[in-house]
Amino acid sequence: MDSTAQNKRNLDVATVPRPGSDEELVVRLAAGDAGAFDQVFDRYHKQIYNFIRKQVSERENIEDLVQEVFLRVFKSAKNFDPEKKFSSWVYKIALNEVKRHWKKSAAKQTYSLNTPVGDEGSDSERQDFIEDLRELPENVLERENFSETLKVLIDRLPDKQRTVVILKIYHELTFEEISEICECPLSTVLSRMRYAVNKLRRWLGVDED
Amino acid sequence: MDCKKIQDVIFNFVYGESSEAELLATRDHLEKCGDCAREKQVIEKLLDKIKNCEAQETVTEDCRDRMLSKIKNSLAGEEPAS
Ligand SMILES: [Zn+2]
Repeated sequence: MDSTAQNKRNLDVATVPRPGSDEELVVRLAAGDAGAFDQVFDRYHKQIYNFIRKQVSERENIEDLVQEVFLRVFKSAKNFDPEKKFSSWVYKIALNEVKRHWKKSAAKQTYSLNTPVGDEGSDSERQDFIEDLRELPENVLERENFSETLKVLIDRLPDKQRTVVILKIYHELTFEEISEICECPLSTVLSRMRYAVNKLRRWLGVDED
Repeated sequence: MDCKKIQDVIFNFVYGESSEAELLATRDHLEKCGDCAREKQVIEKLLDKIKNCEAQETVTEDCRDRMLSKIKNSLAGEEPAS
């Protein structure tokens, strides 16, 4: 959207990448440099670990998923488009891994706490209303601990809305970056954010503040 | 910019990601409309609250090493030394 920022980024990429920058690392990665791989892993594994942790319900899967993500990063580094932002590319791979996991879990059991996998993320007021009618987990709002409450409520958001909320609030990415990661238009990202926040507000009863 | 349109741009505004034109129009509306200004405050407060209640989980050195060595093993398994 912001074409000046985009142009600036393109110009940066066109010049020789700074040593130790993501751009330089990905070039070395593509050439099979193992040292570069360690650096990429150390730069991103905490973020990716935490991103995945909030998206899957079974703790034991987190490490496996993180490994899958970085295997893919390593193997497909040669296909990385240097016009794009490297960190967004890593997140996109992580999100795809999470989606694969959701599908597998859904096939194994009717796991989904919220919308079925593949659902457009219920970007609609009507869907919001229907979800509100479903019972909240017992006593969730009476819990002493706000972060516990919030955790339950965020888990309860439709997958696609939850992804946007997590990337925005906890990972502090721009909406532009999130739209690249989620492979959807900026306007869709913004509406997912809006629906998610409105839902959390209702569930938390924030309005009577 | 009217009250309905504000809903579409409020998150851009709150996070400082509005375009120039959007920024001016949003600011202008918020100055004139108490309802939307209050709405913006509620949203900001909530976002803040959500942000502050969850710290990143640290990945232990053990966990880091375990993951990294599994990745390397699996790469080595697929691509025997060239
Ligand atoms: Zn208004």
